[in-house]
Amino acid sequence: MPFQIGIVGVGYAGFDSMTPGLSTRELMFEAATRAYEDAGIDPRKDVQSFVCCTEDFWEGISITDEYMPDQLGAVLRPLCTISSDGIIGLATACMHIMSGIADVAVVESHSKISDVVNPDEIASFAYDPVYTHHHFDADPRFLAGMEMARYLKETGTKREYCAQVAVKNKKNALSNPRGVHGANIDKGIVMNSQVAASPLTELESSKGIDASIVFVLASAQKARKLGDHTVWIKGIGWSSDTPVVEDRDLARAEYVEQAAGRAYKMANIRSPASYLDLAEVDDTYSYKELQSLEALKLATKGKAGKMVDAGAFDIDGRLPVNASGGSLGVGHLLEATGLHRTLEAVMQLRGQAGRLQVPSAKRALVQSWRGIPTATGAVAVLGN
Amino acid sequence: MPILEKISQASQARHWTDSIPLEFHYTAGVAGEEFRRELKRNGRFLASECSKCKNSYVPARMFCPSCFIEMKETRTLEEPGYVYSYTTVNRNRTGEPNGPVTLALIRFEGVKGGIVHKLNVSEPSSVTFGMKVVSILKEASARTGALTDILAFKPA
Ligand SMILES: [Zn+2]
Repeated sequence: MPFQIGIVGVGYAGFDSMTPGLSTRELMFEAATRAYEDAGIDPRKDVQSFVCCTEDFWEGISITDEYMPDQLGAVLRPLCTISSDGIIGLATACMHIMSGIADVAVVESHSKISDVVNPDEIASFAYDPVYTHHHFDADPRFLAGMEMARYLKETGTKREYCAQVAVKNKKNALSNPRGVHGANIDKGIVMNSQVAASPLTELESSKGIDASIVFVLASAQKARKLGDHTVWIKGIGWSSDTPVVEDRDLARAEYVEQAAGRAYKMANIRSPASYLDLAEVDDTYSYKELQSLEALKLATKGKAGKMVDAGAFDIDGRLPVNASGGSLGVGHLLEATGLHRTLEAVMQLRGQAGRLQVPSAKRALVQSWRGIPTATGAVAVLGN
Repeated sequence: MPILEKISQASQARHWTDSIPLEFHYTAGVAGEEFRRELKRNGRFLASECSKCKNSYVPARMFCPSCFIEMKETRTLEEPGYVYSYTTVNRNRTGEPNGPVTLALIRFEGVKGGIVHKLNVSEPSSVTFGMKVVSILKEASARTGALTDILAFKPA
């Protein structure tokens, strides 16, 4: 039997560079309220598993998971927190449903990065404390710079093609009501913006924003009873490469190749490039989109740059990629980034993407990365 | 029911600030201790060798990431190393302007892993992939065995 878990409700709140009027928990409450309304469920009665994707350091509180129940309607209900990206949260909820523990499961993740006083320092503390963190003092994006340099060298990709990713995604975001960092700029402006970690520039480096996103998932049987706008998860996979950054190849996103291979196999997909109608993929940094597209087999190795430059990944191109504007155009959402990509794909498959709508979109891929300095990624294949 | 009465005046949006004081000891471990001893005493980098896949890894470590077996053999590396990748940044780890600082992932011929460190060059644009580099270490008497014993790398 084919794998099938229904996304029966989505809700979100925030999507702004700062949200001073709402606490983190209130932001979650608003997103959850909308998601439950969308799914037509009562969280106090209808949900058997709640999953949150958060990390203590970004929350400024130890055992942050213990603070999740109230605003989700999950008090005295089964709840767990996983400290990983939202798509891995979706996978966890899928497992709870497949195992029979739950018929309906809720997944939440959020970013309140505007409350974090020193995000760079938190990112730096993610490096190995003995071998990578202490003997120099540098912007934690140094690893992104090294990855980009190595990617460009090994694939022979022109540097300006990375800038084109930022141009495309920021332009798309202008048509997205959630797009905080939309702009109509050219490659020259992108390449001449301040250097973040050479060759990467600031306009090629996504900026954090605030939002909470909530998903309601249901078994196939239950989903058929809950409304008429179900989007199906048809395959899902995730993978982690070594945390030793010194060991890595840097040019390739092998964790994406692995995660995609598993998701494609589950969804029985042989040629993803022709199967898919759109993709929302990692663009935390400009080069990541190209590197990920090649790992996802949506471009042959070393050709993603040329394709983006030729417009193949534009909204009206061969395969729209980050039609939403992605992280570069909308903003980065910490561990909620994967849920953001999934949200945008769900809107597309429901035909609710407004000016971003890809005509007759039926099959979508979403892919996320946990960010510097990780090599962890997740992929899900969706269909309507 | 969503939140009906929201804050509508910027002056009413309050927050308070606090910090989490964090302090840890990070245990070097068995392999880490050997690496440190070699660096402190002889100013050399120690790699571990896997008996199964025959790969070597620097810094020395207890287990092979591809075979999941203990690595018992070690060997010291010969410099120069080479630049595997590099970048130049303009801020420090807290986001304050600082630099430009050029960093590189230094590797050693025939060995997996490597060391990320500052690269002392007068012109960042003079750095190339594969460029041969050597370490600049603290005086033997000042060394503790920590990675901070390595001050930087420089062109060989
Ligand atoms: Zn081995």
